[in-house]
Amino acid sequence: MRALIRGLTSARKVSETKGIFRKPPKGIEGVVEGYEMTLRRLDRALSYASIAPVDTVGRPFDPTTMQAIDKKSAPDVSPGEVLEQIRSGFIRGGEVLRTAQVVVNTLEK
Amino acid sequence: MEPVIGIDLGTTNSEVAFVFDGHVNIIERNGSGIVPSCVGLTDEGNIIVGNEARNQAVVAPDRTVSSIKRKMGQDEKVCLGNSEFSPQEVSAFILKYLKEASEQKIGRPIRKAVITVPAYFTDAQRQATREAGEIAGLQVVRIINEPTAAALAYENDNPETQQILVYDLGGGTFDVSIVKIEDSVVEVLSSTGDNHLGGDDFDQRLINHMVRHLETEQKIEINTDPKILARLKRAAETAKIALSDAPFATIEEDHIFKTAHQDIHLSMEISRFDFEQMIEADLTRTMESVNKALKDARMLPSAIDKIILVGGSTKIPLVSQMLEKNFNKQPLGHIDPDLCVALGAGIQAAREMGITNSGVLVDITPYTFGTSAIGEIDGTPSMTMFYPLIRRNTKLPAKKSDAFLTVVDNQEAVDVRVYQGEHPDAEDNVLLGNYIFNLTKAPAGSEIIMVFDLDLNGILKIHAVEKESGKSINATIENAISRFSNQELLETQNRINGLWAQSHQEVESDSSVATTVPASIPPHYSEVIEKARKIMTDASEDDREDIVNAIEDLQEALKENRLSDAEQLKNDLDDILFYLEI
Repeated sequence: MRALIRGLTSARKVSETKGIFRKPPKGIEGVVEGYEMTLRRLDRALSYASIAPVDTVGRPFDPTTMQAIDKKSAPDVSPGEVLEQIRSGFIRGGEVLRTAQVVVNTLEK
Repeated sequence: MEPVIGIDLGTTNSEVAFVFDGHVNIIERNGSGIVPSCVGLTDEGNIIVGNEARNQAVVAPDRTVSSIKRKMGQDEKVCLGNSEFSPQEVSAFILKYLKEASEQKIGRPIRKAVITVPAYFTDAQRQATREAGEIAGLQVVRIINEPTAAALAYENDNPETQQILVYDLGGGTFDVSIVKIEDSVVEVLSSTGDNHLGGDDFDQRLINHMVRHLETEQKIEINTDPKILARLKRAAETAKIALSDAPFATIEEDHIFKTAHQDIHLSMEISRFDFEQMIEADLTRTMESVNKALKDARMLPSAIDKIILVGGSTKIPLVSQMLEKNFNKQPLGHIDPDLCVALGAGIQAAREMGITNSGVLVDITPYTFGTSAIGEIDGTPSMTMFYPLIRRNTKLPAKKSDAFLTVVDNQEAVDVRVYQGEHPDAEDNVLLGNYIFNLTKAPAGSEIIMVFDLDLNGILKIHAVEKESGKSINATIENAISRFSNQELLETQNRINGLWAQSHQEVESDSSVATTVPASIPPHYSEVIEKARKIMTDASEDDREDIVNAIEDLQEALKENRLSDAEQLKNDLDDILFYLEI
């Protein structure tokens, strides 16, 4: 299960970074589309096993499901809110399968 | 009878144990028995303990306390938000958490506990620990030394007088003690160590190694961004743990770093050998402490009856190897080194309840399993040196692997032999199986990884991989543990030895490869064939023909001892069956 989750996370990153700086090579749309289909299938497989990702960005920091890796200061966001997700987390029922790793907003003087 | 719990209140982690039906078990909460010794205060002013507290440490350092054990017995207060707490009070939060977990599990209120402390703790530190218990609502019926607890976990049911060396290498501290156990009473004869040495240092060395690798390979400067460090730290921990059971570990962290132009991925392999070199100096220092402990107890190494391994870092094989070299005795580590002290505390707690014969239940292998290789036996070169992979007294299930090298250029095959026994000469052990692994062409020194996987039912799975090509063979030996009684063992040994004399001559005349055909089809294959025959009756004519052919090919391959082909054919057959079954 852990391997599956890792693969999912990596695949998601690849599909998110589709050529912003460079001209994408020919046929890359097909690859990206394929990745996205795989991702959707993995998501469905996880939901069959009642596994859900931990909601992080924009939510208040929750130490039961998230681990703070770093803090940043964003004045227009309320303190204690998650700004960034470094690694996704997963829960099944009440059990934390993998703790999410996040960057949390703190107000520093 | 009033329940009493046993608690290991550690610097990094804490655990609690209790006796259930004569067996002492660790009490788990939320799926884990190991609670980080960390206390925090949330935004709302609630106290949190364990993982949750550790998770918030980075964003709320002023509201999180860890390693409070180092401050026990001092007058200094620590801040938690706007309040101040004594070290006893902070420890009490951890104890309260463990007490609650126990009450949930046992279903009764808990008012009494046994707590362990390091052997070097002063009276003031012991008193502070006692107070921490009382604040948490626990009467501390006894404080016992950690090495004492470890000795109890192993030796509670052994009436012999023994002198035991307890080697305790944890996350951040190292202790070595010599204890004497006599009439079930344990006495600490000497104790020494290093307050700041442990697994965290080893992780750091691996992290430095990874950073150097990135910097030289990618020609970039790695900054110490906490986000990157967090990922490297986790990767280091994972690799370190993997290297305890395998000769290589692969580290793969994608998108670890970004330069102006590109994403940098970290993909590297670390060998056990490299890792051992990184930590060898640290471990040598611990061995000096071991000698000091012996000297303090006025003892020679030969006076030690047993060596017990405590603390997660003792899972590193080099630790056992160094101790074994010094003492000529295989150290014991089959009771989980992370939980050993807590389990011993649980045994003492059971004694306080009047249960004297409680123990820790662990499934271990009574025999050593290994293979043969070219090497030395007592200093003499030999073709049949026994090379243990899973040692006697290893906790089950166990999966261990090691790397072997080919001897000649373009070596055609290796003769993979699986033995059970303790003798340094493989020929004096029991041959359980023998498999020819045909190799691809490569210069001498090509690496072959052997994996032995032994489960609780005594099923031994053998997997050999050619590292360069990934080519592999698999084999399974059923009943690897229970098949021999002592008498049978002796008879088999004699029989094997007799047979061996004949076949061994062949080996020598035939350079590096011996060939023996397995007597029967391994169950691994016969199961599939059985299944295929069953499904065949309901299958269409075309499918039936396919299955018949596949079975024939597989049997042919097995007969000719082409195991890798057989494996491929078995997989093909599996695939056919998979589609037909639906």
